[in-house]
Amino acid sequence: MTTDAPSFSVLGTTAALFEAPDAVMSLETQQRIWSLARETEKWPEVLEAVPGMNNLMLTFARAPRDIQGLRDRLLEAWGTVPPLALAGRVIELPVTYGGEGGPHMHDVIAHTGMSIDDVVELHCSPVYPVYALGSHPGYCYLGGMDPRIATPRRKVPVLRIPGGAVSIGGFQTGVSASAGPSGWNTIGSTDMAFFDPARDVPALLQPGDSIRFRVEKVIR
Amino acid sequence: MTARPNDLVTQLSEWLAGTDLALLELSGPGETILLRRNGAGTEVETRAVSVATTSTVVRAGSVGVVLHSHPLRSEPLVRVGQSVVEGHTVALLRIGLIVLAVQAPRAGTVSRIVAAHEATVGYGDPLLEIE
Amino acid sequence: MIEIVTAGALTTVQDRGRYGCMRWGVGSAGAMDGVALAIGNILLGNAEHRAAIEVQVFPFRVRFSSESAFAITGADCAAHLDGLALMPWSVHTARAGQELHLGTPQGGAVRTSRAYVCLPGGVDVPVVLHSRSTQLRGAFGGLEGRPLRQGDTLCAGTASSADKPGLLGLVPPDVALPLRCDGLAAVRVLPAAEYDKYTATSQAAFWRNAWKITPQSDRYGYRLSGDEPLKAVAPMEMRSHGIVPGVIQVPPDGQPIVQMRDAQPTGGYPKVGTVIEADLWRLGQAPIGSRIRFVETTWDAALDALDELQAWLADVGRQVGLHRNTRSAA
Repeated sequence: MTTDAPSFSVLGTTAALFEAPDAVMSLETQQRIWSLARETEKWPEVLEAVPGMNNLMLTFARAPRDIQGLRDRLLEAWGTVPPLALAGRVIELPVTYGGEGGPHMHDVIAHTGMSIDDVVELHCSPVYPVYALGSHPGYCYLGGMDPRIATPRRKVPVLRIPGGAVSIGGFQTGVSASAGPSGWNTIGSTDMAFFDPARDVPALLQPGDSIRFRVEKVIR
Repeated sequence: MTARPNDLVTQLSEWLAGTDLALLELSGPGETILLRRNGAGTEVETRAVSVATTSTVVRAGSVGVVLHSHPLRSEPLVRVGQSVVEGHTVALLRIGLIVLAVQAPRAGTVSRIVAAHEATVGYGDPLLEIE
Repeated sequence: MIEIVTAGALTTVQDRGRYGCMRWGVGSAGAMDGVALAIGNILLGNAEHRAAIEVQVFPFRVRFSSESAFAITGADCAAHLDGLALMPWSVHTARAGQELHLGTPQGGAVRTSRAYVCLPGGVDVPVVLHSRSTQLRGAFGGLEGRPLRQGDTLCAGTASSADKPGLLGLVPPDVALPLRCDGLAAVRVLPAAEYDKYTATSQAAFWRNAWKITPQSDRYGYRLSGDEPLKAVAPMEMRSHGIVPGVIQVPPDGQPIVQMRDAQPTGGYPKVGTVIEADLWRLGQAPIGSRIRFVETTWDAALDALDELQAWLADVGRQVGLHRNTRSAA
């Protein structure tokens, strides 16, 4: 929720949630979140610092009795940590738009009033920074989608879309890393592998990396 | 005594003849022999006898509180007259947070439940009997 | 070694969960009833976090190919070993060739739904990202990242010790640590960030009403159904943020969804509250069709509850340790 001051709340005794106050989500705020994560993950109460979209969840190794004290320290750290301008790699993903791999392209066209070529061009133009990982193993939350191709989440989620599905949900876009349910509009598919549990760092993309989509093919 | 030597019966008959006793009854597992004085001689009768049943007392292996049913269940573990196999849990002993199973040491029929539900027992106290 | 003879849907290998990997989009997975898992391990002399088989669809049958101790905890599911009735929440020994059969969970004072079959040293599957829990989405961990099926074989982490563990069992946590509200199973909840965005009527309804666990409930989440759907004061637009098992989300229809062990590690729905960590095991046992109550608690009381649970587990560990070398009770 967006308010004037940062929001602090608890998720049971398992975790605490910090939400930046900005009305509009931004990369600058996300860089401060990354910085806050790096600082708080050293705290003895904290098991893991997990960035979200302009927010941060701290899971507890041991929940502190003095939760107000933790809140105060967190708010103070938010005020003092410098933004962490992570600059990673730019990964290019070849995408086949439309066709069987993009079953909801027509819904995006219908909602936006654009042609398939316009949708594809607007989707391919930006460099999308990876804000955070979540949802499922290796999945990247991306910023920077052009609002002109924004399409609301589906009323009825699809039970199973495959890994590599390129989708639009509201004002966001993303690529699924494995098969699973989705309420987003799938407009294309890519072959990229995003997660390998055998590696020390199993996710192939990190906050600070960026994604570009390249047109491999457009199936009308 | 099924394989008794004939000379034993002869010997016993002779001893019987030398007494005032009219009847000598000898009991062994599965068999009873009766020797009756009959005038100058002895009549021998053999009767088969059903095996006398033996009873096993199941005892507490430790101090504890006897439970007739598991804390999660309402029906009793065993009832009098119930047939059990070796290893069947016939009672439980609660000791603090622990519950120890008391198992039937042999197959048989539960003949008597001695310790009441929730009774405190000591080591060696009888819990139930199996025939 | 054991061989699966019959397994229902979504029987999986789970330990207490996979932690420290949410930054990569990996949720915790792990046993829905972590207390039953810990107890099964304690009874066998294992470290508490060893992996076990979580059974939630019955019947379940395994055959022991070699002599082994084992423990069954969680739901009392009329377990039999070659026809001999087994006590729940206890350690047993199987001889080579014997077959263990778990039936439908019995009714009792508290209805339960999941059983744990524990082996000496735990179920031996590879550790992936610090855990042996099965991660179904992404297909890793546990046994090949998938549910168990007929024909699968699993090994114990250690060989059974020569001395039989005795006829050892435990007074179950439902009996030792009861929690009920108006006769129903209850769990304690701390309000979450969006609690204040619900109408006063809805807040009261959340605490007062019984919530039924609908058939659309599983390890991912429990979809609840109540007489009064929750209404927000105004529509809310949420950003994706981290969530944990126990978070109670409210989708547009106002019927809450409690996120469970296999939930996504992030969510975007408003949250009315979160079940406290000390009560997650109770929730994990609540069967489909049962009703639960939410009891409002405070931060301090929630930590007290966690301390109480951990103290009880420590007591159990101590007493089991004393008895593990005891001969049989008769």
